[in-house]
Amino acid sequence: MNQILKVVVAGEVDAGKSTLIGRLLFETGSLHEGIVEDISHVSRSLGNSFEFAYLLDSFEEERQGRLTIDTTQVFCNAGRDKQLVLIDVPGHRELMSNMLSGSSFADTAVLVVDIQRLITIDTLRHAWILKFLGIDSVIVAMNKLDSSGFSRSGFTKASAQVSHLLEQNAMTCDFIVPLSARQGDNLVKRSKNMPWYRGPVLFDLLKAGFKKRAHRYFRMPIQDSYSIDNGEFLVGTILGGAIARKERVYILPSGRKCIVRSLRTFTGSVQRLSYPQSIGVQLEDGPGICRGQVMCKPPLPRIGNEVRVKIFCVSSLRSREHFTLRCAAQEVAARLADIDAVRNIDDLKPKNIPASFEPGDIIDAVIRTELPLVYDTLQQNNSLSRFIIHQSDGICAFGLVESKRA
Amino acid sequence: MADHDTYLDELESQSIFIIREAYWKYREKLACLWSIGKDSTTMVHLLRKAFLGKIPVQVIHIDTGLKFKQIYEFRDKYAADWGLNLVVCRNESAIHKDLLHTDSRFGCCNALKTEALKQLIGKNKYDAVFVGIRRDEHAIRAKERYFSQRDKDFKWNYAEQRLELWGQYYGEDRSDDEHVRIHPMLHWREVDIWRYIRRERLPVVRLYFAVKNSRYRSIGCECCCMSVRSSADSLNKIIRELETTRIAERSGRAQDKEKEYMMQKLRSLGYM
Repeated sequence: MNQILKVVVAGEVDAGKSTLIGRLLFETGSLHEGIVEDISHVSRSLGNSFEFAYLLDSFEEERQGRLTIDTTQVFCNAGRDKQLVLIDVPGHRELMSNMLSGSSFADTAVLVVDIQRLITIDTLRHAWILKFLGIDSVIVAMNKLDSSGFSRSGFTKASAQVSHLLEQNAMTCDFIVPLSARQGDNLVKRSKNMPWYRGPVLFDLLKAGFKKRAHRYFRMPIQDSYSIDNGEFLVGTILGGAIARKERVYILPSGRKCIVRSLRTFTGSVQRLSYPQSIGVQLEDGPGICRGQVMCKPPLPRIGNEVRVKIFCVSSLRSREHFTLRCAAQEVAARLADIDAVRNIDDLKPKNIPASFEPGDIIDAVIRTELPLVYDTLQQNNSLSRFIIHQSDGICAFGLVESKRA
Repeated sequence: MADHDTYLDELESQSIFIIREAYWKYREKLACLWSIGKDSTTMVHLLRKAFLGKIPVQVIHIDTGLKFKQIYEFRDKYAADWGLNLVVCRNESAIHKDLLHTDSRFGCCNALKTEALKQLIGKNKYDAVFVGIRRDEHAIRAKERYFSQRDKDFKWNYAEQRLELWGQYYGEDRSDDEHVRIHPMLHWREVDIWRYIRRERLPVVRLYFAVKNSRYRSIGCECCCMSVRSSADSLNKIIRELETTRIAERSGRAQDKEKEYMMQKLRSLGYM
């Protein structure tokens, strides 16, 4: 059972994302008492009534401008031993990379929609990014029902439009909850203003998301090698499965087989270690093994020079030049071999292949690497299926491995 | 479930991963800030785990000269027990000016902590330092990244933070006069720290435990720390208290007050 569930709260500017999170914290008793006083004070000094969004928007510029600039993660109590990590992200187009920083590795998503505005292109963009990150079903929080008099027919009509639009973009919505984030209707407590709604409240839907995740196969990208007491220890974090003394492991991509001589933690040797520990391993016949290789047990991940991927550009990427691809601790030179499709997040329409991709371009392609790459598909849910791309001046794109082979 | 084992394992493992990435990138140009409080003491423990025993980088204590006596005793005992390569860093000229904190907390914190660190980074040429801050301590700290750049004036350009995803933390574009703050504890909560201290049987400064119905939840300079009413005189009681309290952890820390955006201003100048 996962004890931590990461929820990204997406949606367009002013849909009420920060307010929704602030109100959830308030109602679940996740706030300290001094904070509520401080926020009342700040709200008054800026001439507003109590502003839940200020709980998240902590920068002076954010409060005065009434907009979220950077992503924030906050903790929300969801019962004993359970924590929701709520991730607030900016809605603005120019702040896309902050949105991405916040959303990567989220387990699930809430898409906040303003009932007066419905799904705009900004909302669809966020939905596309979520889908890109591997989240293909969302909970829709239909917000600001107070502004439409909590009308049932208004909600029914809006819901039909929203689910239709999401389906057209290959997203499904598991639930649509009518709510007012500002007033707290149907967030944690059932709303008295909407007796016609009999579905679950948002908080209960989120709590139902705690479940087992698969981390079955033994994988350990080698991060580094430390000399301790005249022995060489390979260190890394176990992404799945377990490892024991005297077991045989494969070092990929070379395919070399080695026997585990000892397993070490800082207090001494142990017999067996498993996910999610960060460990040290000494191998029989281990010299020459270093960062960039991956220690595995069968079933082995894929190895190859051609990988089918989808890529999201955050700055310009020259389409014919080499770049550096980093996947877990692997770092290889690579280039785009075949480009199947390109579209930009601005209008979400297909476009021609440019000499240089620009921020917001989404590319379906096959990548050719100079050295073989060890990778998993998304089903394994680990960092071997995700990568970033560097080209001279920093990170310019990131991507995911598709399960279809190149 | 006894001490949330998988949960604590996940937190620990993520921190160790970050520590090892930082060391791979910066090697001996890296140092660790140890305030002797519970968080950075936990961080020092995580470094010992990450490096399988002996910590290969310098451990820095920024000493304002105003810390509690117990803090100094604790520092000297465990620096020896754990074989730390300890560097004590003091802004002597400011300490001798005989301070400030009564006139301006902002000026005092900035001179005795931020300036002291600046001097040391300038002298020892560190490329990166580990800092044990957590997102849940303060809304401003919640905005941080694991690897966070600072320019030569220590400025935190919070409006343009780098993309950080999928365990790819370090960047390539650091210029010589910048340094990187590395925050391996960012994802821990206060109660997680205490559960981990209990599980790992870590020592902590006694000031955290209640005497005569009062204890400290956050410690630093004696002059600027207020105790909270509490009868928690053991780890179990502290954990139970934190599971129910609504009082903010740093409510006793004078430099944290929301009203003047003091934390944002201190941090944009390089405060931890």
